[in-house]
Amino acid sequence: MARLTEMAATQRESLESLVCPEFSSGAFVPPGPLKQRSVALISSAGLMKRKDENVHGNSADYRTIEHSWPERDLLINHISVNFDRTAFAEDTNSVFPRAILGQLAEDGIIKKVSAKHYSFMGATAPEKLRPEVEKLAQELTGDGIDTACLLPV
Amino acid sequence: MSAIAHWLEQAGINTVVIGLVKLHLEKMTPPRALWVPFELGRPMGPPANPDFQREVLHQALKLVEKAESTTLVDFENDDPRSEANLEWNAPDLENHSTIADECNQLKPLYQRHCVDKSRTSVGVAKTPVTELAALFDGVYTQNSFKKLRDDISERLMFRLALDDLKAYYIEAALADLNPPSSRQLHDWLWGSTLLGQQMRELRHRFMDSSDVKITDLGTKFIVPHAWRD
Repeated sequence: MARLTEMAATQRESLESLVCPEFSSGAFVPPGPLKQRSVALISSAGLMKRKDENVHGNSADYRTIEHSWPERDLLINHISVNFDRTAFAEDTNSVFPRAILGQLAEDGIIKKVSAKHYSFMGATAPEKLRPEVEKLAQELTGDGIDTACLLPV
Repeated sequence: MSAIAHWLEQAGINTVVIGLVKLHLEKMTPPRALWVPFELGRPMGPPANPDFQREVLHQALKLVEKAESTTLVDFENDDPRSEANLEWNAPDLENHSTIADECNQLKPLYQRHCVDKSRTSVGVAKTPVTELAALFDGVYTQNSFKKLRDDISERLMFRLALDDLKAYYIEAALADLNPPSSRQLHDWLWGSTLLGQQMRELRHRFMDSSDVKITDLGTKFIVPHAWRD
């Protein structure tokens, strides 16, 4: 369904015309055994904790969602109306697979699940996010997290 | 997410992107990406299918082990929940004249879903659904944006109210034991409910407003592309 050919014409045109920044640095961390990896999830779904302030449409900051944060108090607060939210209504793991990542750790496929995961507002212009991403990189490194799985909506 | 991947990689963090729009992955060339052929909004595919989701996540994470340079791999399987479930029973709605009445009829189904799942995705407006329904009815019938929260504008509050009302309806429709596809849910919401009909009407009304912020609300933030007319 995310195949462009299966979308409404206006949505397809919107995605096809989106200006994408180019990256020439070619930074690439060398490969290594998955079972030695400590992994965090990073979503662009505009996730928020039920008690927290709303995520605003052009926010650059990220929200921290603890691995143990109750599923019942996790909400999606993205500004866009152009993606499916019915899967999240049924199962948060379809967007933010904390339980699935936990299973991979329990089965020894990865070394460890990060105690904290993260969420950005995906509608924000990428360049505006950069200082926050650099701050997040320091936080991940400080927590001993060497791998991030990034999930869009 | 591809931009974030590049910047994290520069900081020494290994990244894998699970991507939904292949064209964007091809343009932005994140270090490692798994393209999944799922609907926007569900990067892990079908809800309530942990075995399938595990396969998606495992395939993505395995890229940190093998990839030697920029890598884009396709996930081969489609979302099994993208097929219509003919056993699903959509809520049988009466002809209501207000969203408040329609919400009231859906309340037992919504409550059943909340109990079954031990959660609800309703809550971003931080206001009871009865008040959100009354807000909607006031906007629809009198063009009156009642102030319900002091910390945000009436326009933003209305957008959050729509998000919560849609989530409330979707959860009510998910109360049936035979889970539908998202297409079935959206067809029902936008084609068979008073809320869907009135949201589509409000979109046009807002787009004709002389207030540019209301025009913007109508243009972008009420009706998804697939149901715009």
